[in-house]
Parts: sequence; C-alpha cells; structure tokens
Amino acid sequence: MNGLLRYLPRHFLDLLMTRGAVMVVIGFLLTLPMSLSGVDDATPEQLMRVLREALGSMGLFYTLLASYGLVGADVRQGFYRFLFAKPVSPVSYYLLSYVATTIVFCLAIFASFGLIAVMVAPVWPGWPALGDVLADYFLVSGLVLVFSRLTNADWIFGPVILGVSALLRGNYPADQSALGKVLNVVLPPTDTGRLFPYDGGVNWEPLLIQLAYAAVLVALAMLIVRKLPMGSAR
Amino acid sequence: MIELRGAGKTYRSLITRKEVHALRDFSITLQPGEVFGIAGPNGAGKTTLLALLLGYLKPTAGTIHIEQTEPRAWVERFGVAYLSELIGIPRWWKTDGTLHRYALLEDMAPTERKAKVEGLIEQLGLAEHRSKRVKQLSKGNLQRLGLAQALLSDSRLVILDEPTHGLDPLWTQRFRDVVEAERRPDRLIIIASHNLDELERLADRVAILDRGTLVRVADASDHSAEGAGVWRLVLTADHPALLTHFPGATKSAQVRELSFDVHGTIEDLNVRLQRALADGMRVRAFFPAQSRLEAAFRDAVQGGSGA
Repeated sequence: MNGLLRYLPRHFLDLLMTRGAVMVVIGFLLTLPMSLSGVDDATPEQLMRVLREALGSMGLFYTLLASYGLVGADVRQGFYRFLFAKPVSPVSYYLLSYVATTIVFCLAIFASFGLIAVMVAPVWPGWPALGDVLADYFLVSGLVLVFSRLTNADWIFGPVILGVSALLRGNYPADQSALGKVLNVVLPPTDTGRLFPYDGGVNWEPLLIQLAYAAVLVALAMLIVRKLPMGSAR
Repeated sequence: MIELRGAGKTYRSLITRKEVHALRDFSITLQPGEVFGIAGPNGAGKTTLLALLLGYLKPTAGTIHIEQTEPRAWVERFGVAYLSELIGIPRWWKTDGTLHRYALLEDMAPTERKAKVEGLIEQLGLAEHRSKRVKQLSKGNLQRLGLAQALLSDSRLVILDEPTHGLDPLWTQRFRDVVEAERRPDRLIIIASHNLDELERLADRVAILDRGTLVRVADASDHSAEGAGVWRLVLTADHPALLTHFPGATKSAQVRELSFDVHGTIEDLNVRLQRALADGMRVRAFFPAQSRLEAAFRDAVQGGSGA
C-alpha cells in the first residue's frame, strides 16, 4: 500500500497530462460560443445564469472524460499485466485512481473558470453551483465505473441510465405504486433538484441519498474488479 | 512452491455456448530453485497457464496454489517478476520513468529504487534510450525494458513469457546470462518459449504442451540420454572414405554442402571419428542433428496429433 501511495503522484500527473488536457480543450470549445456571442450588454445576473448553465454541460462532459475507461483501458491495452504482477491490489489501485481522477476533474473545472474569465467575463458561479456539479460527478462517474470493466462503451451507460431513470421515475412515482417504490430505491436519484440552493443552505436528505448511491456504485465497481479476473474476456 | 492439480481453463461463448479448452487437466508440482520451461506450438495453452499462475484468469477446473495460497492473493502479497509476451506499457511513458514507476509499486525505498533502476538501465543496455518515450523504442529495446521492469522485483517467483522475442542474437545470449544470475535456491523461474534451444540451455525441466494438454515433462538437465541418435558431421573438404568411416551417412537436409547426418551411439561415433581424423578427414563441426528437447517436442506434438 505504501508503494501505491508513493506511485499516486505520478499516476495523478499521467491523468492530468492525458485526461486533464483533453478536458481543458473541451472547456475551451464550450466557452468559445459564449465568447463569440459577446456579453457586453448582459447584466451580471444574466451572465451568472449563462455561466451556471455552461457549468452543468461542462460538468457532464468532464465527468465522462475523467472516468471513461478508468479500469477498462488498462485491460484493453494490456497495462494490467505489469501493474498487477507487482505486489498491488487492483481494488486499492483503482480506488486511488478514482481519487486522483476526482482531483483532476476539480482542477479542470477550476481551469475552465480561468478560461471563462479570460474569454468571456470574470464571473464566479458560487460554491453552491460547484457543489451540485461535484455531487453529479460522483453519481455519473460511479455509474461509468461500474461498467468500465464490463464494456468498452462505459461512458455511454452513465447518461443513458440517468435518462432512463428520469423517464421511469416520472412515469412511476414512488407514492403511487409498488413498482414506483422499487424503482425509487433501485434507480439512481434523478429528481433531487438543487442540492445546494443558490440562496444558501444544503438539501441534506437528497444530497446524502445521492452520495450514498454513488458510494454503492463505486463499491459495486470494485467488487467487479475483485471478482472478474483481469485476463478474462469482456 | 506451485501446485497444479487437474487445472483446466475452458472458454465458453456466451451466445453459441461453444467451448474452447485452453488448458486441460494440468497437474504438476514446481519447486523453488529450478528453472522450469514451458514449450508448445501456438495455441498450446502456454500463455493461459501463465495467466492462471498470476491470477489473471481463474481455472474452470482443478486447483492452483502457490505456497498453499490462491495465486491472486499470493501475487498481491509478494509480487511476481513477470515479463509478458505482449509488452503493455503506456506509450507516453519514458524509459527511466517507466522503471521508476514500477519500482514504486514494488515499494522500494528511494535510494534502493534509484540504484536498482540505474543498475538495470546499465545491465540491459538502455542508457542511450533512457529519455525516449516507449512509443519511440524499437521492438528489441521495448523487450529489454519489459525484462528490466520484471527484474526490478526480488520475488521468489519469476515468470517470463517469450523473453527473447524480438531480441538480437547478442541480447539473446546476454539474456541467458541474466537468467543464470537470477537463479537462487529459494526462487522458481518459469520460462515459456517457442525457442527450444533456449529452453534446453536454461531449464532444468520442460513441460511440453499441445492443444491445452500437458503431453510430457522432459528433464532438460539429464544428459545421460545423449546416446543413440542422429549427429551432424560438417567437413572442411570432401573425403573419399566418408562412407567407410561412417556407413549410412547421408547428406543433411541443410543447404550446407559438406554436412552429413550420421547415426550411432556417442561411444561408437567417437571411435569412428578418431579413425577418420587419423585418415586425414578434416572436421569443422560435429553436433547432434537435433537437440534432445527438439526430438522430445517433435515426438510429443506429432504423437499427439497422430502425425
């Protein structure tokens, strides 16, 4: 474990140089339309609203870029062969890798604010907006992580499952049928609204449900890593 | 140290349920201190066997234990000095950075890590390539980097899959020296290779696999069997009494013009050779036309296929 902890900074730099760099490029491309459309006439409130909307899109893109193939790429490209011949547990390795990915995600989000400040206007979206982005990151990346060892198209499962979840939750409300109650427990929480309202405070119950659901997903992903041998076909 | 009892691995198609037996009913005990070779044609199950030993695959039949422990648990605790047939290292890593990264995972202290990495860079001739990225390395250099990362480990288990693949003759020779240097009484070295000559030189025993089945375990260190067989005699110039001294000698299938296959026991051939030399025959080389392992391999594999 000590070796793995000492290895972590280099792994973090790898993620930063590969995934982080792509995120910044995507951030630039998402900021470009705002920059070109001009914001000279916009009020601070309008600017803030646009920025918060952009932050939502960036958050999803960045989450998918950060968590895509976190386990699967090592299997697909055969990196696991040398990595896990060392005295290292794959579960510990991927848990730390997930931590490093989360830090890269946060840095990319902050880098995007820098881009927006330079290209559009120096606006700070506020901590509540960031809190929501991070909570969504944990949920979506958890879903992606579950599928990472199972399929090459893990990145598509997160958004699709969230979309299907929202649809089913809308059609089968929890308080109207037994099926709705089951779906409410099984499906990822998509009806939580704002976890961190802009006017302050925290919606603790939905936040804890969302984080608990994300934690279960990460645990499930690690169980798959543990139980499904690295050399077996997907 | 390693015990396989009826170990097997069967792949089953999810849709058609068609089964492919990559390894069947494999039983053997391997002891520390020995160099154990695994030979077999393509698809014989060599790499599957190694993946089972590393816990990268789970057997579908039988059991595999390393010191009474499941392979994956043992590897996670002690690590294995492993060189895979396919070298999977991120292409953007640099040569020295690669070794430092893997050394970190070996949990080495910083001073030990630096010394070990520098030593291996020197030993495996990677000094001039140390700043190159993996994607810039030639096949031979990549193979040496793969070998270097394996040798970082001080593990009691060394597994090398096609270790000389892509190496030039010079480095193939040096590789043999490296393996000899890695021999220790408490260490088991397993080498899977197509190269029978290499296995014969390095291994104490060689398992011959064919289509997933262990056909034979040949004792490569036993030279007592070096008796009757076909020997190759290479002359510097034609000799009129060749057939008198070596009745039944035939031109060997090799292109070399003055190369002949002769038959007999080693004692009998020594006597004949002595007479021939006294008679003015000039010999350039005299060696077994086929190594014992090669013969054992051919017998085992062709016998298995009914050829």
